[in-house]
Amino acid sequence: MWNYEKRLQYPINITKSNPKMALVIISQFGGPDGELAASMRYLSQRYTMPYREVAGLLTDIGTEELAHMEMVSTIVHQLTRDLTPEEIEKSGFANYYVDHTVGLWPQAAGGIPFNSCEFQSKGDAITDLHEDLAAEQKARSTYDNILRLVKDPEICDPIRFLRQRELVHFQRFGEALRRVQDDLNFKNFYAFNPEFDSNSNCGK
Amino acid sequence: MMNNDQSKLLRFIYEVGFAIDDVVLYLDTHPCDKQALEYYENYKKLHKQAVDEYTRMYGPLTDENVYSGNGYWAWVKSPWPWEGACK
Repeated sequence: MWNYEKRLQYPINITKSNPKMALVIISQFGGPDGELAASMRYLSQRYTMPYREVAGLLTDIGTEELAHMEMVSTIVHQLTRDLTPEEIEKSGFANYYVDHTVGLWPQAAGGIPFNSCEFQSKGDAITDLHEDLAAEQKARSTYDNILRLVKDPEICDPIRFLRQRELVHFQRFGEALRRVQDDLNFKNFYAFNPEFDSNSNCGK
Repeated sequence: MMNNDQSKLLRFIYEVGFAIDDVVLYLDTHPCDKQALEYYENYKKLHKQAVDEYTRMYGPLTDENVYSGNGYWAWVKSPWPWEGACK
């Protein structure tokens, strides 16, 4: 069960519109390594995760990713809210505008719509945690790429915050993977899948 | 495993929690309805009392309500809601 808190995780106040940057940053909303995929990845994986601490971490990071999705969407919104038709035409925003006006729609920077093939829920604790570690690094690379293009400090500041959270999540997922492996046969981590081959996940 | 008192209290939280969820939607489109506002206040109070009692007796329902006085992070210790009853 979720409750909404009426604030962003980190404040955003962008005063100058920039549709070109919006089209790049929108990838962290609906792109392959974006926040929507991140949240859905962790919240989908947690049901079969047999270690309560790790299921809790997936819940809490999956929840934080929803707040990040809200931040990225806020950035895109503030970058596009005051556009005139002339600016839209000049900036290359017309292709997005014709289908969505200046509404938010999850897509990658290249215009590819969001889809769940962008993440995995494999039902295997080791596989899923490696997916999660890779996902955090891919998101970090994407934010690094965005930061090379963005000059406006009002945009850079919240993007840097989001980038930093990828590092923290990577660290926590690394600890979760170690927690899972500590419970497995150290001579062969793959002897069985703790999400499928063990009888019960109660009380772990 | 949940005992009888715990599941009764949780059931009550489900009920008052849902009453709030539902009246919130109604108030979103009827923000001046006095009767609905009273209903909201009433269930808000019942919900808070029940959640406080549940948290004290059985553990946290939110991550901002974790009692940490025993030197342990209880948030990830109790069962997750999707676990259902243990086989």
